Amino acid sequence: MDMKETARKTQPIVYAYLAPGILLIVCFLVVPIIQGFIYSLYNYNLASTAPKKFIGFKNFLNLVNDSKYIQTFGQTVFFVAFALFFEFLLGFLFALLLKQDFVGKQFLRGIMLLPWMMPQVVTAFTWSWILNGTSGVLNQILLKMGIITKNIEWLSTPGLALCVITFIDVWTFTPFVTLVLYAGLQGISQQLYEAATIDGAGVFQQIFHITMPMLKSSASVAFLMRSMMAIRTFDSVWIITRGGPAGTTELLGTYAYKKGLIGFNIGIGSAATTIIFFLSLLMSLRFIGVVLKKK
Amino acid sequence: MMVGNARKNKIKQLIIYLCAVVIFFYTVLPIVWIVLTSFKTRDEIFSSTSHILPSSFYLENYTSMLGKSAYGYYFINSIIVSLCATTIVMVFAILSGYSFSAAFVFKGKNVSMIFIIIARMVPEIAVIIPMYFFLQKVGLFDTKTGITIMIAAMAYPLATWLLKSFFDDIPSSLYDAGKIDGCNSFQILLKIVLPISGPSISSTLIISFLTVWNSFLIPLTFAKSIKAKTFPIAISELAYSEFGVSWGNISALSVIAVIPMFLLGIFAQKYIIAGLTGGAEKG
Repeated sequence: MDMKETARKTQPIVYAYLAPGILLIVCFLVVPIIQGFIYSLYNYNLASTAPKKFIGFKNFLNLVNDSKYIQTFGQTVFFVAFALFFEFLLGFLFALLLKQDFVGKQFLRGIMLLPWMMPQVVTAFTWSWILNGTSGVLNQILLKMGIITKNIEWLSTPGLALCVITFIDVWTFTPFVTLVLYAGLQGISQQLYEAATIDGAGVFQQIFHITMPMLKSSASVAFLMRSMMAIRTFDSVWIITRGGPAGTTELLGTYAYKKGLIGFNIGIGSAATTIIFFLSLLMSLRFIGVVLKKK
Repeated sequence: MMVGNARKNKIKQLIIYLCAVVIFFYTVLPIVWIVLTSFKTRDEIFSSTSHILPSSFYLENYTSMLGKSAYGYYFINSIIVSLCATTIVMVFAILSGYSFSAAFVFKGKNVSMIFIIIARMVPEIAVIIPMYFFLQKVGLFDTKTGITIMIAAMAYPLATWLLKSFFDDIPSSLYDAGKIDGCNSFQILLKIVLPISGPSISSTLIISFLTVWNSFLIPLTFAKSIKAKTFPIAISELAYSEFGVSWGNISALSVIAVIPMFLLGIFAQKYIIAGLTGGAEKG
């Protein structure tokens, strides 16, 4: 309250503090996004001799009519949906475990950070090596155990490859979800559980009626953040499969990169990145709602 | 009743440890496998009779990669880019995080805060095509400077947001005390806020450094030559080398790239978790 009286008047110096950062993102984020949107309205292909020409939203229409793009979109939806489902399922179970007392908990928490902290390049190689069709260790183990009779081509079988890519995402990001949910768990008052125990509520009843509802706010923020990250997934797919075999692991990010910066069809590529941007923006509007509501 | 409870507890303990062990191996085995591979000879790696452990402490994979001067360069590039970008991010984010904290009111505060939140959600892929041309135009394409600035711009919003939420927790009485002593707002930042913000600064610093160090799409797009290429990009290119994939060499480089992360995970765990959950929890 007395803050209001002493310090609560606009100090012009604040704008000077803000200026460098705002300038940085205006120049390197805002302007390029607008520029990208403008490109998306042009027939602009460096790989052809046709002159740059304004064509309105035709690039977007072309994308929607491109069965490859629709397939990519569907694959991205599959990837995001399943990755998030398993990340939150496992993350919740792991967080419940971390809440228990056991020797080595600190250590386990440190180890669990690794998949999330590792450069994605390394994660990608680690898994491509383990899942390698001819000399990968997983096939060798499965063969030895008699579960399979011949090598499985994990990364070059259509369908299976996308599942594997999804699994690798789950492996990488479950720790993130776990730690956020674990922080949320620690905010739940122990008294609630004690009261529930006295009322005769069992373990599962407590999970469903106390833990889950109380976790809702941290879970929803984590969910929005993860879905925004998942929708733009690029690194791991680019390194592991490059979208192959036959485009069955192509995601929105790799599609846009290939069109724009490999094929140099700037118009179509920009339309594809603009769509990713607007999907992210839509989610961030939700996100702002959640964040502001919390205050 | 007592006996029953004790038994129930024992079973519960058993289940807890069992789960902990499973999670431990699930997380760590893939990484261990890469470490083991990095010490194996080519024959061991490709032999069909699986060797789990390397037969000897074979260092060729490491020495042959580090001996090739290019990889030393890429590593140094990565360090230079990461240090510079993190420095820019931290200086800018401390200033703006401070302005967004509860200590200040100013016209346009809410709008600029929402602007920062949206900026934090901008996918890298949405800016690289226009930047590809822009950086060429201003002569920053394929330079460490260009990559540093781009990565800094991507990492700055999250750092700002983290610091803002940390600075919000500083009691207002401290600001008032500074005012009474005749400090202006910049002196308050230097003399009061920063000295007590060690842990928050460390968290933000580590999270920013991680983001920058692991950055892939930006250097992939903008770094083409040895003078700008970063370590992750160099590793990824090994997979497409003309001699086929050399898993031993890739494993060795991967281990080198993971060691700093491993040390951070062990020694700075507290700060990383504070930064990670702060970014998600406080929005």
